[in-house]
Amino acid sequence: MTTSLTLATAPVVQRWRPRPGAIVGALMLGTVLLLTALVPLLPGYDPMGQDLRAALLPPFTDPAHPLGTDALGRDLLSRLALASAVTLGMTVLIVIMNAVLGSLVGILAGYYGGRLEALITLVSNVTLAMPVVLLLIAICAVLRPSAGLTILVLGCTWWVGYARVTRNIAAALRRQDFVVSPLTQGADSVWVLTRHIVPNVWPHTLIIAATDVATIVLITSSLEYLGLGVQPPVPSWGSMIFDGQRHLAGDPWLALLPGLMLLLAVGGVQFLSQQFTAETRGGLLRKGGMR
Amino acid sequence: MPTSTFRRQMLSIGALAATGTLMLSGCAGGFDDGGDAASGDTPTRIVAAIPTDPTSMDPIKSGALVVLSVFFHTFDQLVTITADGELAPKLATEWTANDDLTQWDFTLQEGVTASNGEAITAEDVAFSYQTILADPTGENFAYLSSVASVEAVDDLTVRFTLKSPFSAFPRNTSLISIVPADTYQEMGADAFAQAPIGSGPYLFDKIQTGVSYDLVRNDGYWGDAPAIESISLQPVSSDESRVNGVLSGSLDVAPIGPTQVESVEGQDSAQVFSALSNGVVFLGVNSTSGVLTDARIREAIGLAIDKEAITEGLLSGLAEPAATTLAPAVEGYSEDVTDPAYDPERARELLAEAGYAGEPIPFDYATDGRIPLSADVAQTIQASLEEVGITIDLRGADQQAHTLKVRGREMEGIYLNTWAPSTVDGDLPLTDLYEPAGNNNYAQDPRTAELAAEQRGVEGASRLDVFAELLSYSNEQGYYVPLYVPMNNYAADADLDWTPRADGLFDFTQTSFK
Amino acid sequence: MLLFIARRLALAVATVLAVVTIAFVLGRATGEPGALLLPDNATQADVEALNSALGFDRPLLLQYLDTLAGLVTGDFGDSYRLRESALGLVLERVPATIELAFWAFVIGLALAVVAALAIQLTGSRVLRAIVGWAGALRQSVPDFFFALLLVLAFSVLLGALPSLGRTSYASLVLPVVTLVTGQFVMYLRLLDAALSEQAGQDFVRTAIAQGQRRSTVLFTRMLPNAIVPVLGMAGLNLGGLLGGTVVVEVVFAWPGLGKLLTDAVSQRDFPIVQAGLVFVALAFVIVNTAVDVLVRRIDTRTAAA
Repeated sequence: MTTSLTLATAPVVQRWRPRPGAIVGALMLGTVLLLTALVPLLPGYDPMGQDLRAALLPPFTDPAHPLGTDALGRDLLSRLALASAVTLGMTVLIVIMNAVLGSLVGILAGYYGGRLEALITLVSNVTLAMPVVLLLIAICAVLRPSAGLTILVLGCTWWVGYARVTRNIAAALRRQDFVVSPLTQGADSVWVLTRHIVPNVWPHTLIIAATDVATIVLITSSLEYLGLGVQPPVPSWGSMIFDGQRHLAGDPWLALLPGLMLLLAVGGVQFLSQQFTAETRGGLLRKGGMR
Repeated sequence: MPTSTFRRQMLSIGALAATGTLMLSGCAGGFDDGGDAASGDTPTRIVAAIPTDPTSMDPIKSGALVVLSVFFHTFDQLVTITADGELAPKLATEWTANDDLTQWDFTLQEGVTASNGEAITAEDVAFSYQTILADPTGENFAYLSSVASVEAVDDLTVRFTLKSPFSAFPRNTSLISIVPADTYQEMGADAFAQAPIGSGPYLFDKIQTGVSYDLVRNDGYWGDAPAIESISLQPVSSDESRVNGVLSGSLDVAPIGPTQVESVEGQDSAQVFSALSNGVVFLGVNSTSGVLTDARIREAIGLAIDKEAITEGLLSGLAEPAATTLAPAVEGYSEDVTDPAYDPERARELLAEAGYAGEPIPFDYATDGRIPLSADVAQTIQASLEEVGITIDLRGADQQAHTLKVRGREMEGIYLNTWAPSTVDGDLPLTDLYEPAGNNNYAQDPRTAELAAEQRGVEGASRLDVFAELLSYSNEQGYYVPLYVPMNNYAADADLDWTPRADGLFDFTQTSFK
Repeated sequence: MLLFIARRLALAVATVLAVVTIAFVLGRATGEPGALLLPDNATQADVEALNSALGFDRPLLLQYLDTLAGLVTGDFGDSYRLRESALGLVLERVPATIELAFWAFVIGLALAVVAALAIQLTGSRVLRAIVGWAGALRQSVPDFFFALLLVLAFSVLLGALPSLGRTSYASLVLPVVTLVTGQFVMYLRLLDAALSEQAGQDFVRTAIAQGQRRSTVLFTRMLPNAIVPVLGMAGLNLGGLLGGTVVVEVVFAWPGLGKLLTDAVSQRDFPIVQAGLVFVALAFVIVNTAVDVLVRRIDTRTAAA
């Protein structure tokens, strides 16, 4: 019983065999992360300084601005670095919020079942039925759009995937002997939860979170594109693409450079996460992961 | 393994779902006839893009400016405003006022009929105006707020009695469309909005709300027949889509933003029209809030902004710096009104004098909507102000939220705004900027209120003098910081022979293809 | 089974109610639209009069009950800006969105099946690698950016396809291609995983050992098994696709529901927002319930088999 439990619920990473995809992914993501971390340390770093006379300089023409300047004459390299930090930072926060919230909700629903589970099912259904973009537009119309608001709203609406998986696991575990017997002997629920349920659940949460990062980056950048998200003059990938598309015909790099960063980041995360999901893919495809 | 019965069931359910969806999508109907815009020897059809969707097609109820691009073609108004901002006769051949400008008589054209044959006389004019006046919640009501009563004196004469003298009144009538009274009352407002009947040079051919408004030439029109046989007005909200539409041929003319002008100019298949608009982009100021109560700080804000850098650099020369809140095309504009030039040193001096200690000043702007590149303009202004030491709290919102704040007089600092009078006359902006009920009037200065009311009672040169006095005073006090007069830019088919209007609306009655 | 369906229906109703309530609360919180419907020089008094006429000065509870009543009768009132029945406008625009979603779904799924079968039949790792990488690249770019690139390439530079509006079959191409590529990648991954899992099963090895041709086994046994979970996923996805067309609709000025709703939210046109949200919620709930029931049916049958 216990043996099959461990095998079925814990991801199996027996031998560390780096697949070619993972290497490429690491390189892609690594480039973005390096840029984000190192560029602010350079002497010419200035993401906000405007110079209308030096506007729309192409890349590689001016040593002071290696990647060129935008419509207000601000250095693109600096702004890209800051935008990466902003978009990635927001994404990480959102994924963490959703993972924690969703897993918690799922565990409670699966463990306690009954009316709590029914209530949570209702809430998750409503969350799914409500178009998040419209919700955010409406909320930002009431309170001014800001990064914090976007993080809050997205962090509270993307948790259903986590909840579903963790609920199934928690519900199945709940029936197991090693959970039932301590309870009948008077053990505290909290103890059981922290000692047995959570450790079996969090590896799955981690896997979902890894694949979620890519999705959330795309959603966050779409919202930034729509003007909801961090506000000017602070840059973000989506808002830079939006500003750049006006100049697509004459100065395409303004939109293409942040687009490229997006591609590297999202593609990198995707390829990397494939490394970890490959082994457990079969297990997750089956409902509940317990056969 | 699934049984074969089960598989059959799955297949049949799948087929059912697929057919259902296909049928539903078939309900989308035949394709919109956007099609070939300009084809054939000399094209006779214009497809024009409008930036937002007009509201309903009932001219009594509907008054949002964009809908006038439709109504100018399908209905008659008493007068029309030409491309260079002058009044010209349309349904009315002439108009006179009494000595104190409180009573206006309009003489109508003879022999005018609506497209269904009903004759248009002073009765119909009176009916149209009276119906609007009867509904204070209507969109057109505000343009007639000066009117006490309107009556048909005889078949061809309409008399307006005003509540107080108003010299620019005829301009307001250019916005009000005349409906055939009997037809309107018979059909009822709702049915009329679905199938409107007017007396203009074009008829409604097909209305697809939010998609296209198709018009065809009215061969029974009382006036000169226009060259273009059919017009299709299509709401396209995205800047990019409008440009791509013209370049790819789906559109013949579309308003575009200043940054796209360059990309269109290089193409053989299209040309660019640029003309100074009737509007001014300016900074509104809440002079009763925080540090802005000090006139020196308000002056410093004006001195710290390099308007030429904005118009030449940011807007690629497609705007001109403004010294007042009225554009040159607008009646009431005077070249004598000046404001101080860019002088950041003097700005710093003033700030020091006033003892400014770095208190943040809120700066609200709309992220999209009426002012092209508003986000860039706002950021440039923020940078300029911070350059002289003013701390700015930049706050963006969508256009609607911004408008609601403006209308509610809820601004706490400075804010980006624009005013473009559709009557091409300074009276409308003055009411909003300087009269006590005006939404932008935080200062509530009795002198400006007095002058704003005074210009209505005088005409001609004396009226211009009143304007000049008011606007100069406003500049001295720093109640507003005029920034620039933007140009209206259009991408159009290379063969289009057309003169754009200053108010950005479409009127193709004088247009043709070369 | 009946109890299951009854519970699912109760959930559906509760979901729609919750969505309507949220829409109402948010709608009222974004301010009264009167000022947006009148010209710039209208006074505060004019604005207040209009808001009153639209019913905004009644107690909140009454307004809420009105909304609920409208939900039941199907009367959401008239759009403030367009002065036509809100529900009518929503229903008018839905087919255009469904058109996009449908073609994207069908073509995406069909292409994915073809590609997955090709990979299995040829056993080519190169093919799988190419398709895999191209797919991953497509998934790494947001829809709006991909759409912009397509427009730049095909509409502006080549002048081959229309860039906006719903004017002809040609105008369907770019929006559908944008959506199809995304769908294709997703279904291909699922199919490939499912087929690969099938390939390792005993019954396949037995059939081939018995002399059946690989292609026969593939089409008659593996594919039907593999496609079931994919269809389940596809059903859920179709609901999500309806929401996902918004960005594409905006970029291509496609006259669909997504664009109508975003415009309405921006312009505080509550009747359309409410009618539209209810429609979207209903669609989601119906599709979900149907899929749940079907899956449950498959489960009981396979459990019985």
